[in-house]
Amino acid sequence: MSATMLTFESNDGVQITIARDVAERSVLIKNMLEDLGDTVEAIPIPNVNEAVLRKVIEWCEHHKGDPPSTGDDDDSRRKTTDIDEWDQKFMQVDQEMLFEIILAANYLDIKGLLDVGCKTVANMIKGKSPEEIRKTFNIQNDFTPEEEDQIRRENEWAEDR
Amino acid sequence: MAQLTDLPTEIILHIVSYLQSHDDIAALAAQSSHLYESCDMRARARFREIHITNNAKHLKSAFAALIDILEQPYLGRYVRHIEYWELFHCREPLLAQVLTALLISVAPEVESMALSQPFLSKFSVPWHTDSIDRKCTKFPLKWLLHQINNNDAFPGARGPKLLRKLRDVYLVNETEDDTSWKQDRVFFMTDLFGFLELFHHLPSIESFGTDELKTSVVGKHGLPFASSNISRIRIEHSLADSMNLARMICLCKQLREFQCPIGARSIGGNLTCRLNSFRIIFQALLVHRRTLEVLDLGVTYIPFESTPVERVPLNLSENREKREQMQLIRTANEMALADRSVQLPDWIWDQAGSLAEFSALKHLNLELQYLLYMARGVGTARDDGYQLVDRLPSQ
Repeated sequence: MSATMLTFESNDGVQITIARDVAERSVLIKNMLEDLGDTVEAIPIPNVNEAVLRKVIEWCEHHKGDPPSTGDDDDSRRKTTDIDEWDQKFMQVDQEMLFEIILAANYLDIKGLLDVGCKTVANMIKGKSPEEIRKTFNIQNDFTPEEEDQIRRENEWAEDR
Repeated sequence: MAQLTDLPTEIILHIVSYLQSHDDIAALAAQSSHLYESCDMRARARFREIHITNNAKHLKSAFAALIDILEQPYLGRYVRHIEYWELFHCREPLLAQVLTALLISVAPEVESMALSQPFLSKFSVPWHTDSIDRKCTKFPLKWLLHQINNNDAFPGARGPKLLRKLRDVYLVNETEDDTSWKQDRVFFMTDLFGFLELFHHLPSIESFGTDELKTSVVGKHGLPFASSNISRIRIEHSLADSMNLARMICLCKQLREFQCPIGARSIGGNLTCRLNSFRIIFQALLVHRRTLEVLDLGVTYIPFESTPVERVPLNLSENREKREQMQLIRTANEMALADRSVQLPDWIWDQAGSLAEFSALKHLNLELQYLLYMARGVGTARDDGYQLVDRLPSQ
Protein backbone atom coordinates (compact mmCIF):
# COMPACT_ATOMS: atom_id res chain seq x y z
CA MET A 1 0.00 0.00 0.00
CA SER A 2 1.35 3.40 -0.89
CA ALA A 3 2.00 6.03 1.75
CA THR A 4 -0.81 8.56 2.22
CA MET A 5 1.47 11.31 3.51
CA LEU A 6 4.63 12.57 1.85
CA THR A 7 7.32 14.96 2.98
CA PHE A 8 9.03 17.52 0.73
CA GLU A 9 12.01 19.70 1.37
CA SER A 10 12.28 23.18 -0.12
CA ASN A 11 15.60 24.55 -1.38
CA ASP A 12 15.98 26.52 1.86
CA GLY A 13 15.81 23.32 3.91
CA VAL A 14 12.26 23.41 5.29
CA GLN A 15 10.30 20.14 5.39
CA ILE A 16 6.57 20.14 4.61
CA THR A 17 4.33 17.08 4.90
CA ILE A 18 1.22 16.81 2.73
CA ALA A 19 -1.28 14.22 1.53
CA ARG A 20 -0.22 12.16 -1.45
CA ASP A 21 -3.28 13.03 -3.58
CA VAL A 22 -2.47 16.73 -3.12
CA ALA A 23 1.14 16.22 -4.15
CA GLU A 24 0.04 14.28 -7.21
CA ARG A 25 -1.44 17.44 -8.75
CA SER A 26 2.19 17.81 -9.85
CA VAL A 27 2.84 15.57 -12.82
CA LEU A 28 6.57 15.67 -12.04
CA ILE A 29 5.98 14.29 -8.54
CA LYS A 30 3.37 11.81 -9.70
CA ASN A 31 5.79 10.34 -12.25
CA MET A 32 8.61 10.39 -9.73
CA LEU A 33 6.53 8.46 -7.18
CA GLU A 34 5.64 5.89 -9.78
CA ASP A 35 9.37 5.37 -10.42
CA LEU A 36 10.40 5.51 -6.77
CA GLY A 37 7.63 3.42 -5.29
CA ASP A 38 7.06 4.05 -1.60
CA THR A 39 9.40 6.44 0.10
CA VAL A 40 9.64 7.65 3.65
CA GLU A 41 12.44 10.12 3.06
CA ALA A 42 11.86 13.79 2.39
CA ILE A 43 11.76 14.53 -1.34
CA PRO A 44 13.91 17.56 -2.23
CA ILE A 45 12.40 20.27 -4.44
CA PRO A 46 15.61 22.04 -5.41
CA ASN A 47 14.15 24.95 -7.44
CA VAL A 48 11.51 26.16 -5.01
CA ASN A 49 11.82 27.98 -1.70
CA GLU A 50 9.56 27.51 1.32
CA ALA A 51 7.26 30.50 0.78
CA VAL A 52 6.60 29.57 -2.84
CA LEU A 53 6.24 25.87 -2.04
CA ARG A 54 3.61 26.66 0.61
CA LYS A 55 1.68 28.77 -1.91
CA VAL A 56 1.86 25.99 -4.50
CA ILE A 57 0.64 23.44 -1.93
CA GLU A 58 -2.21 25.76 -0.94
CA TRP A 59 -3.33 25.81 -4.55
CA CYS A 60 -3.02 22.03 -4.90
CA GLU A 61 -5.05 21.50 -1.70
CA HIS A 62 -7.85 23.65 -3.02
CA HIS A 63 -7.84 22.00 -6.44
CA LYS A 64 -7.21 18.39 -5.43
CA GLY A 65 -10.69 17.32 -6.53
CA ASP A 66 -10.42 18.89 -10.03
CA PRO A 67 -10.63 16.54 -12.99
CA PRO A 68 -7.18 15.95 -14.49
CA SER A 69 -6.45 17.96 -17.62
CA THR A 70 -6.25 15.94 -20.79
CA GLY A 71 -3.27 17.87 -22.04
CA ASP A 72 -4.29 18.05 -25.70
CA ASP A 73 -7.29 20.31 -25.26
CA ASP A 74 -5.60 23.55 -26.27
CA ASP A 75 -7.04 23.68 -29.74
CA SER A 76 -10.56 22.66 -29.00
CA ARG A 77 -11.09 24.79 -25.93
CA ARG A 78 -11.84 28.45 -26.26
CA LYS A 79 -8.93 30.15 -24.61
CA THR A 80 -10.30 32.68 -22.24
CA THR A 81 -8.65 34.65 -19.52
CA ASP A 82 -11.51 34.15 -17.11
CA ILE A 83 -10.18 33.16 -13.70
CA ASP A 84 -12.41 31.82 -10.97
CA GLU A 85 -12.82 33.87 -7.84
CA TRP A 86 -10.73 31.73 -5.51
CA ASP A 87 -7.83 31.67 -7.97
CA GLN A 88 -8.06 35.43 -8.44
CA LYS A 89 -7.68 35.98 -4.72
CA PHE A 90 -4.94 33.37 -4.58
CA MET A 91 -3.01 35.28 -7.27
CA GLN A 92 -3.17 38.59 -5.44
CA VAL A 93 0.50 38.50 -4.53
CA ASP A 94 3.44 40.70 -5.40
CA GLN A 95 4.99 40.30 -8.84
CA GLU A 96 8.03 38.45 -7.60
CA MET A 97 5.85 35.82 -5.94
CA LEU A 98 3.63 35.63 -9.02
CA PHE A 99 6.57 34.83 -11.31
CA GLU A 100 8.05 32.43 -8.74
CA ILE A 101 4.73 30.57 -8.63
CA ILE A 102 4.65 30.41 -12.44
CA LEU A 103 8.21 29.08 -12.56
CA ALA A 104 7.46 26.51 -9.84
CA ALA A 105 4.27 25.40 -11.59
CA ASN A 106 6.24 25.00 -14.79
CA TYR A 107 9.00 23.02 -13.07
CA LEU A 108 6.62 20.82 -11.08
CA ASP A 109 4.38 20.43 -14.14
CA ILE A 110 1.10 21.61 -12.59
CA LYS A 111 -0.81 22.66 -15.67
CA GLY A 112 -3.80 24.24 -13.94
CA LEU A 113 -1.63 26.48 -11.79
CA LEU A 114 0.59 27.43 -14.73
CA ASP A 115 -2.52 28.40 -16.71
CA VAL A 116 -3.89 30.56 -13.91
CA GLY A 117 -0.52 32.26 -13.45
CA CYS A 118 -0.10 32.99 -17.16
CA LYS A 119 -3.70 34.25 -17.41
CA THR A 120 -3.03 36.58 -14.50
CA VAL A 121 0.00 38.04 -16.28
CA ALA A 122 -1.94 38.26 -19.57
CA ASN A 123 -4.68 40.21 -17.79
CA MET A 124 -2.05 42.60 -16.44
CA ILE A 125 -0.88 43.24 -20.02
CA LYS A 126 -4.29 43.62 -21.69
CA GLY A 127 -5.28 47.09 -22.80
CA LYS A 128 -2.01 48.71 -21.70
CA SER A 129 0.22 50.91 -23.83
CA PRO A 130 3.87 49.88 -24.28
CA GLU A 131 4.86 52.57 -21.74
CA GLU A 132 2.36 51.29 -19.18
CA ILE A 133 3.60 47.72 -19.61
CA ARG A 134 7.18 48.85 -19.15
CA LYS A 135 6.22 50.62 -15.94
CA THR A 136 4.05 47.77 -14.61
CA PHE A 137 6.73 45.12 -15.04
CA ASN A 138 9.76 47.36 -14.67
CA ILE A 139 11.26 46.08 -17.92
CA GLN A 140 14.69 47.27 -19.04
CA ASN A 141 14.60 48.62 -22.59
CA ASP A 142 17.48 47.02 -24.50
CA PHE A 143 16.67 48.45 -27.95
CA THR A 144 18.67 51.18 -29.63
CA PRO A 145 16.55 54.21 -30.61
CA GLU A 146 16.77 53.08 -34.26
CA GLU A 147 15.53 49.59 -33.43
CA GLU A 148 12.72 51.02 -31.36
CA ASP A 149 11.65 53.24 -34.21
CA GLN A 150 11.73 50.35 -36.66
CA ILE A 151 9.62 48.15 -34.38
CA ARG A 152 7.09 50.93 -33.96
CA ARG A 153 6.75 51.24 -37.73
CA GLU A 154 6.58 47.47 -38.19
CA ASN A 155 3.81 47.15 -35.63
CA GLU A 156 1.63 49.97 -36.90
CA TRP A 157 -0.75 47.49 -38.50
CA ALA A 158 -1.62 46.03 -35.13
CA GLU A 159 -2.96 49.25 -33.66
CA ASP A 160 -6.66 49.91 -33.16
CA ARG A 161 -7.57 46.27 -33.22
CA MET B 1 14.21 38.76 -7.98
CA ALA B 2 12.01 37.03 -10.54
CA GLN B 3 10.79 39.33 -13.31
CA LEU B 4 8.65 38.95 -16.41
CA THR B 5 11.77 39.01 -18.56
CA ASP B 6 13.28 36.15 -16.54
CA LEU B 7 10.61 33.73 -17.69
CA PRO B 8 11.72 31.19 -20.29
CA THR B 9 10.39 31.61 -23.82
CA GLU B 10 7.93 28.72 -23.50
CA ILE B 11 6.18 30.49 -20.61
CA ILE B 12 6.21 33.84 -22.42
CA LEU B 13 4.52 32.05 -25.35
CA HIS B 14 1.97 30.58 -22.96
CA ILE B 15 1.16 34.10 -21.69
CA VAL B 16 1.00 35.47 -25.24
CA SER B 17 -1.47 32.69 -26.15
CA TYR B 18 -3.95 34.33 -23.75
CA LEU B 19 -3.59 37.70 -25.49
CA GLN B 20 -6.10 37.73 -28.28
CA SER B 21 -5.60 41.29 -29.45
CA HIS B 22 -2.67 42.00 -31.75
CA ASP B 23 -2.49 45.42 -30.14
CA ASP B 24 -1.61 43.89 -26.76
CA ILE B 25 0.92 41.54 -28.32
CA ALA B 26 2.55 44.40 -30.24
CA ALA B 27 2.82 46.42 -27.01
CA LEU B 28 4.53 43.48 -25.33
CA ALA B 29 6.86 42.95 -28.30
CA ALA B 30 8.08 46.53 -28.00
CA GLN B 31 9.49 45.94 -24.50
CA SER B 32 12.76 44.10 -25.11
CA SER B 33 14.55 42.05 -27.74
CA HIS B 34 13.72 38.79 -25.94
CA LEU B 35 10.00 39.64 -25.87
CA TYR B 36 10.18 40.91 -29.45
CA GLU B 37 11.53 37.59 -30.67
CA SER B 38 8.99 35.64 -28.63
CA CYS B 39 6.05 37.59 -30.04
CA ASP B 40 6.92 36.80 -33.67
CA MET B 41 5.39 40.03 -34.97
CA ARG B 42 6.51 39.69 -38.60
CA ALA B 43 4.79 36.36 -39.08
CA ARG B 44 1.72 37.72 -37.30
CA ALA B 45 1.61 40.62 -39.75
CA ARG B 46 1.81 38.27 -42.71
CA PHE B 47 -0.89 35.86 -41.57
CA ARG B 48 -3.34 38.16 -39.81
CA GLU B 49 -5.63 38.59 -42.81
CA ILE B 50 -6.11 36.25 -45.72
CA HIS B 51 -8.03 37.24 -48.83
CA ILE B 52 -9.26 34.59 -51.20
CA THR B 53 -10.94 35.17 -54.53
CA ASN B 54 -10.80 33.25 -57.77
CA ASN B 55 -8.25 35.71 -59.07
CA ALA B 56 -4.94 33.93 -59.77
CA LYS B 57 -2.82 36.22 -57.60
CA HIS B 58 -5.06 35.78 -54.56
CA LEU B 59 -5.28 32.03 -55.10
CA LYS B 60 -1.52 31.78 -55.25
CA SER B 61 -0.85 33.70 -52.06
CA ALA B 62 -3.64 31.95 -50.15
CA PHE B 63 -2.26 28.61 -51.27
CA ALA B 64 1.24 29.60 -50.12
CA ALA B 65 -0.18 30.63 -46.74
CA LEU B 66 -1.96 27.30 -46.42
CA ILE B 67 1.20 25.33 -47.16
CA ASP B 68 3.20 27.36 -44.63
CA ILE B 69 0.57 26.73 -41.96
CA LEU B 70 0.48 23.02 -42.72
CA GLU B 71 4.25 22.92 -42.30
CA GLN B 72 4.18 25.01 -39.14
CA PRO B 73 0.72 24.75 -37.59
CA TYR B 74 1.29 27.49 -34.98
CA LEU B 75 1.18 30.04 -37.82
CA GLY B 76 -2.51 29.19 -38.21
CA ARG B 77 -3.12 30.83 -34.84
CA TYR B 78 -2.06 34.18 -36.27
CA VAL B 79 -4.95 34.28 -38.74
CA ARG B 80 -7.68 36.55 -37.42
CA HIS B 81 -9.61 37.57 -40.51
CA ILE B 82 -10.59 35.66 -43.64
CA GLU B 83 -12.19 37.16 -46.71
CA TYR B 84 -13.75 35.11 -49.43
CA TRP B 85 -15.39 36.33 -52.58
CA GLU B 86 -16.33 34.31 -55.62
CA LEU B 87 -18.84 34.47 -58.44
CA PHE B 88 -20.27 31.29 -59.82
CA HIS B 89 -20.49 32.17 -63.45
CA CYS B 90 -17.78 30.11 -64.97
CA ARG B 91 -17.02 26.45 -65.24
CA GLU B 92 -13.89 26.62 -63.16
CA PRO B 93 -13.74 24.34 -60.16
CA LEU B 94 -14.49 26.23 -56.97
CA LEU B 95 -10.85 26.67 -56.02
CA ALA B 96 -11.42 29.71 -53.82
CA GLN B 97 -14.09 27.79 -51.88
CA VAL B 98 -11.82 24.82 -51.33
CA LEU B 99 -8.92 27.01 -50.21
CA THR B 100 -11.11 29.04 -47.87
CA ALA B 101 -12.51 25.88 -46.30
CA LEU B 102 -9.02 24.44 -45.81
CA LEU B 103 -7.75 27.67 -44.28
CA ILE B 104 -10.67 27.80 -41.85
CA SER B 105 -9.77 24.29 -40.76
CA VAL B 106 -6.23 25.34 -39.76
CA ALA B 107 -6.98 28.80 -38.31
CA PRO B 108 -8.60 28.36 -34.89
CA GLU B 109 -8.34 32.02 -33.83
CA VAL B 110 -10.32 33.63 -36.65
CA GLU B 111 -12.42 36.46 -35.25
CA SER B 112 -14.01 37.98 -38.31
CA MET B 113 -14.99 36.95 -41.80
CA ALA B 114 -16.29 38.80 -44.81
CA LEU B 115 -17.64 36.63 -47.56
CA SER B 116 -19.95 36.47 -50.49
CA GLN B 117 -22.77 33.98 -50.32
CA PRO B 118 -20.90 30.67 -50.75
CA PHE B 119 -23.73 28.93 -52.57
CA LEU B 120 -26.37 29.71 -55.15
CA SER B 121 -29.79 30.85 -54.06
CA LYS B 122 -32.67 28.65 -54.99
CA PHE B 123 -33.92 31.24 -57.41
CA SER B 124 -31.53 33.02 -59.65
CA VAL B 125 -31.35 34.36 -63.14
CA PRO B 126 -31.13 32.02 -66.10
CA TRP B 127 -27.61 32.99 -67.12
CA HIS B 128 -26.39 31.97 -63.71
CA THR B 129 -28.04 28.59 -63.86
CA ASP B 130 -26.82 28.05 -67.41
CA SER B 131 -23.22 28.24 -66.44
CA ILE B 132 -23.38 25.89 -63.54
CA ASP B 133 -25.39 22.78 -63.02
CA ARG B 134 -26.61 23.31 -59.50
CA LYS B 135 -27.89 19.81 -59.02
CA CYS B 136 -24.39 18.46 -59.33
CA THR B 137 -22.58 21.31 -57.70
CA LYS B 138 -21.31 20.84 -54.22
CA PHE B 139 -20.16 23.92 -52.42
CA PRO B 140 -17.32 22.83 -50.14
CA LEU B 141 -17.23 26.05 -48.14
CA LYS B 142 -20.97 26.02 -47.60
CA TRP B 143 -20.75 22.38 -46.55
CA LEU B 144 -17.97 23.06 -44.04
CA LEU B 145 -19.63 26.14 -42.53
CA HIS B 146 -22.93 24.31 -42.28
CA GLN B 147 -21.30 21.40 -40.47
CA ILE B 148 -19.44 23.66 -38.04
CA ASN B 149 -22.55 25.66 -37.24
CA ASN B 150 -25.20 22.97 -37.13
CA ASN B 151 -23.55 19.68 -36.29
CA ASP B 152 -22.36 19.50 -32.68
CA ALA B 153 -20.51 16.27 -33.33
CA PHE B 154 -18.43 17.82 -36.15
CA PRO B 155 -15.52 17.28 -36.74
CA GLY B 156 -15.49 14.23 -34.50
CA ALA B 157 -13.57 13.51 -31.33
CA ARG B 158 -10.08 13.91 -32.74
CA GLY B 159 -10.43 17.08 -34.77
CA PRO B 160 -10.31 20.52 -33.17
CA LYS B 161 -13.52 22.53 -33.00
CA LEU B 162 -13.52 25.31 -35.57
CA LEU B 163 -14.54 28.97 -35.63
CA ARG B 164 -14.97 29.06 -31.84
CA LYS B 165 -13.86 32.67 -31.75
CA LEU B 166 -15.63 34.03 -34.79
CA ARG B 167 -17.39 37.20 -33.67
CA ASP B 168 -18.23 39.19 -36.76
CA VAL B 169 -19.50 38.04 -40.08
CA TYR B 170 -20.11 40.29 -43.02
CA LEU B 171 -22.03 39.28 -46.12
CA VAL B 172 -20.48 40.74 -49.28
CA ASN B 173 -23.23 41.52 -51.73
CA GLU B 174 -21.13 43.01 -54.46
CA THR B 175 -21.13 41.63 -57.95
CA GLU B 176 -18.08 41.68 -60.12
CA ASP B 177 -18.59 44.85 -62.07
CA ASP B 178 -20.82 47.65 -60.94
CA THR B 179 -21.94 48.73 -64.37
CA SER B 180 -22.10 45.75 -66.69
CA TRP B 181 -23.88 43.59 -64.17
CA LYS B 182 -26.49 46.15 -63.32
CA GLN B 183 -29.27 44.02 -64.72
CA ASP B 184 -28.04 41.09 -62.74
CA ARG B 185 -28.01 43.03 -59.51
CA VAL B 186 -31.72 43.46 -59.63
CA PHE B 187 -32.35 39.79 -60.15
CA PHE B 188 -29.81 38.07 -58.02
CA MET B 189 -31.47 37.17 -54.77
CA THR B 190 -29.62 36.83 -51.56
CA ASP B 191 -30.52 33.82 -49.48
CA LEU B 192 -30.14 35.81 -46.30
CA PHE B 193 -31.51 33.17 -43.97
CA GLY B 194 -29.57 30.42 -45.68
CA PHE B 195 -26.46 32.51 -45.11
CA LEU B 196 -27.28 33.12 -41.45
CA GLU B 197 -27.77 29.42 -40.97
CA LEU B 198 -24.06 29.01 -41.61
CA PHE B 199 -23.12 31.11 -38.58
CA HIS B 200 -25.95 31.71 -36.11
CA HIS B 201 -25.10 28.95 -33.62
CA LEU B 202 -21.38 29.64 -33.26
CA PRO B 203 -20.42 30.17 -29.62
CA SER B 204 -18.78 33.60 -30.00
CA ILE B 205 -20.81 34.99 -32.88
CA GLU B 206 -21.96 38.48 -32.10
CA SER B 207 -22.55 40.61 -35.11
CA PHE B 208 -23.84 40.30 -38.64
CA GLY B 209 -23.45 43.06 -41.17
CA THR B 210 -24.18 43.57 -44.81
CA ASP B 211 -24.53 46.28 -47.38
CA GLU B 212 -26.79 46.75 -50.37
CA LEU B 213 -29.15 43.95 -49.49
CA LYS B 214 -31.75 43.68 -52.22
CA THR B 215 -35.46 43.69 -51.61
CA SER B 216 -35.67 40.15 -52.79
CA VAL B 217 -34.49 37.92 -50.04
CA VAL B 218 -35.00 34.24 -50.33
CA GLY B 219 -36.20 32.84 -47.06
CA LYS B 220 -35.11 29.65 -45.50
CA HIS B 221 -37.40 27.09 -44.10
CA GLY B 222 -36.60 25.75 -40.66
CA LEU B 223 -34.69 28.53 -38.91
CA PRO B 224 -36.55 28.66 -35.64
CA PHE B 225 -37.54 31.76 -33.72
CA ALA B 226 -35.01 32.91 -31.06
CA SER B 227 -32.38 30.46 -32.25
CA SER B 228 -29.56 32.79 -33.19
CA ASN B 229 -26.61 33.88 -31.07
CA ILE B 230 -26.21 36.98 -33.22
CA SER B 231 -26.90 40.04 -31.11
CA ARG B 232 -25.80 42.88 -33.36
CA ILE B 233 -27.19 43.50 -36.82
CA ARG B 234 -26.05 46.16 -39.25
CA ILE B 235 -27.65 46.41 -42.66
CA GLU B 236 -26.63 49.42 -44.70
CA HIS B 237 -27.84 50.95 -47.95
CA SER B 238 -30.43 48.29 -48.33
CA LEU B 239 -33.95 47.73 -49.50
CA ALA B 240 -34.83 44.77 -47.32
CA ASP B 241 -38.53 44.79 -46.58
CA SER B 242 -40.17 44.98 -43.17
CA MET B 243 -41.17 41.36 -43.08
CA ASN B 244 -37.63 40.11 -43.60
CA LEU B 245 -36.17 42.57 -41.15
CA ALA B 246 -38.73 41.51 -38.56
CA ARG B 247 -37.82 37.88 -39.22
CA MET B 248 -34.16 38.65 -38.65
CA ILE B 249 -34.94 40.50 -35.43
CA CYS B 250 -37.02 37.57 -34.19
CA LEU B 251 -34.29 35.05 -34.96
CA CYS B 252 -32.04 36.57 -32.30
CA LYS B 253 -32.16 35.29 -28.76
CA GLN B 254 -31.03 38.67 -27.51
CA LEU B 255 -30.69 41.71 -29.70
CA ARG B 256 -28.35 44.47 -28.55
CA GLU B 257 -27.87 46.48 -31.68
CA PHE B 258 -30.02 47.02 -34.71
CA GLN B 259 -28.82 49.42 -37.35
CA CYS B 260 -30.62 49.73 -40.60
CA PRO B 261 -30.28 53.18 -42.06
CA ILE B 262 -32.81 53.21 -44.86
CA GLY B 263 -31.52 54.06 -48.26
CA ALA B 264 -30.87 52.71 -51.67
CA ARG B 265 -27.44 53.29 -53.10
CA SER B 266 -27.01 52.45 -56.74
CA ILE B 267 -29.43 49.58 -56.65
CA GLY B 268 -32.02 51.39 -58.70
CA GLY B 269 -34.89 49.67 -56.97
CA ASN B 270 -37.90 51.64 -55.92
CA LEU B 271 -38.55 52.49 -52.36
CA THR B 272 -42.23 51.73 -52.16
CA CYS B 273 -41.73 48.23 -50.89
CA ARG B 274 -39.24 49.30 -48.23
CA LEU B 275 -40.48 49.12 -44.67
CA ASN B 276 -44.03 48.68 -45.87
CA SER B 277 -45.17 48.10 -42.36
CA PHE B 278 -43.20 49.78 -39.67
CA ARG B 279 -45.47 48.27 -37.04
CA ILE B 280 -44.09 44.81 -37.70
CA ILE B 281 -40.52 45.94 -37.17
CA PHE B 282 -41.49 47.82 -34.04
CA GLN B 283 -43.32 44.83 -32.59
CA ALA B 284 -40.36 42.59 -33.36
CA LEU B 285 -38.05 45.07 -31.65
CA LEU B 286 -40.33 45.12 -28.61
CA VAL B 287 -39.31 41.49 -27.99
CA HIS B 288 -35.84 42.86 -27.22
CA ARG B 289 -36.90 45.93 -25.25
CA ARG B 290 -34.70 45.05 -22.29
CA THR B 291 -31.50 44.33 -24.19
CA LEU B 292 -31.48 46.70 -27.16
CA GLU B 293 -28.68 49.23 -26.69
CA VAL B 294 -28.28 50.71 -30.15
CA LEU B 295 -31.13 51.47 -32.52
CA ASP B 296 -30.57 53.25 -35.79
CA LEU B 297 -33.40 53.51 -38.28
CA GLY B 298 -32.53 56.66 -40.11
CA VAL B 299 -32.76 57.66 -43.73
CA THR B 300 -29.32 57.97 -45.22
CA TYR B 301 -29.89 58.29 -48.91
CA ILE B 302 -32.90 58.42 -51.18
CA PRO B 303 -32.43 58.66 -54.96
CA PHE B 304 -34.12 61.86 -56.06
CA GLU B 305 -36.16 60.25 -58.83
CA SER B 306 -37.83 57.81 -56.52
CA THR B 307 -41.03 58.34 -54.64
CA PRO B 308 -40.53 60.03 -51.29
CA VAL B 309 -40.26 57.96 -48.15
CA GLU B 310 -43.55 56.46 -47.32
CA ARG B 311 -45.11 58.02 -44.31
CA VAL B 312 -45.86 55.98 -41.29
CA PRO B 313 -49.56 56.64 -40.77
CA LEU B 314 -49.95 57.97 -37.27
CA ASN B 315 -53.66 58.66 -37.39
CA LEU B 316 -55.06 55.20 -38.08
CA SER B 317 -57.12 53.68 -35.32
CA GLU B 318 -55.66 50.69 -33.51
CA ASN B 319 -58.31 48.44 -35.06
CA ARG B 320 -57.71 49.64 -38.55
CA GLU B 321 -53.96 49.35 -38.15
CA LYS B 322 -54.35 45.84 -36.86
CA ARG B 323 -56.73 44.90 -39.63
CA GLU B 324 -54.40 46.19 -42.31
CA GLN B 325 -51.51 44.52 -40.68
CA MET B 326 -53.30 41.18 -40.36
CA GLN B 327 -53.98 41.35 -44.07
CA LEU B 328 -50.32 41.92 -44.69
CA ILE B 329 -49.34 39.09 -42.40
CA ARG B 330 -51.73 36.69 -44.06
CA THR B 331 -50.27 37.50 -47.43
CA ALA B 332 -46.75 37.25 -46.10
CA ASN B 333 -47.40 33.94 -44.40
CA GLU B 334 -49.01 32.53 -47.51
CA MET B 335 -45.96 33.58 -49.46
CA ALA B 336 -43.73 32.19 -46.75
CA LEU B 337 -45.50 28.85 -47.03
CA ALA B 338 -45.21 28.93 -50.77
CA ASP B 339 -41.46 29.51 -50.82
CA ARG B 340 -40.87 27.69 -47.52
CA SER B 341 -39.41 30.75 -45.86
CA VAL B 342 -39.17 31.79 -42.23
CA GLN B 343 -42.44 32.57 -40.53
CA LEU B 344 -42.97 34.89 -37.64
CA PRO B 345 -44.59 33.59 -34.49
CA ASP B 346 -48.23 34.66 -34.20
CA TRP B 347 -47.89 36.23 -30.78
CA ILE B 348 -45.59 38.86 -32.20
CA TRP B 349 -48.73 40.72 -33.31
CA ASP B 350 -49.89 41.07 -29.73
CA GLN B 351 -46.73 42.81 -28.57
CA ALA B 352 -47.67 46.12 -26.96
CA GLY B 353 -45.35 48.85 -25.82
CA SER B 354 -43.72 52.15 -26.57
CA LEU B 355 -40.27 53.62 -26.93
CA ALA B 356 -40.18 54.32 -23.17
CA GLU B 357 -39.79 50.60 -22.44
CA PHE B 358 -36.45 50.18 -24.18
CA SER B 359 -34.59 50.31 -20.90
CA ALA B 360 -31.09 49.47 -22.16
CA LEU B 361 -30.94 52.03 -25.00
CA LYS B 362 -27.75 54.05 -25.15
CA HIS B 363 -27.78 55.23 -28.73
CA LEU B 364 -30.90 56.14 -30.67
CA ASN B 365 -31.11 57.46 -34.21
CA LEU B 366 -34.60 57.39 -35.65
CA GLU B 367 -36.17 58.98 -38.65
CA LEU B 368 -38.74 61.44 -37.24
CA GLN B 369 -41.91 59.56 -38.18
CA TYR B 370 -40.53 56.33 -36.72
CA LEU B 371 -39.69 58.18 -33.54
CA LEU B 372 -43.22 59.58 -33.26
CA TYR B 373 -44.73 56.19 -33.99
CA MET B 374 -42.61 54.40 -31.41
CA ALA B 375 -43.22 57.11 -28.83
CA ARG B 376 -46.96 56.86 -29.35
CA GLY B 377 -46.80 53.12 -28.83
CA VAL B 378 -48.85 50.20 -30.11
CA GLY B 379 -51.48 47.90 -28.66
CA THR B 380 -52.56 48.56 -25.10
CA ALA B 381 -49.61 50.91 -24.63
CA ARG B 382 -50.86 53.23 -27.37
CA ASP B 383 -51.52 56.74 -26.16
CA ASP B 384 -52.56 59.28 -28.78
CA GLY B 385 -52.25 62.12 -26.30
CA TYR B 386 -48.71 61.21 -25.29
CA GLN B 387 -46.03 63.72 -24.46
CA LEU B 388 -42.82 62.88 -26.29
CA VAL B 389 -40.75 63.67 -23.23
CA ASP B 390 -42.59 61.00 -21.20
CA ARG B 391 -41.98 58.37 -23.80
CA LEU B 392 -38.26 58.64 -24.23
CA PRO B 393 -36.11 55.86 -22.82
CA SER B 394 -34.60 56.61 -19.44
CA GLN B 395 -30.87 56.47 -20.27
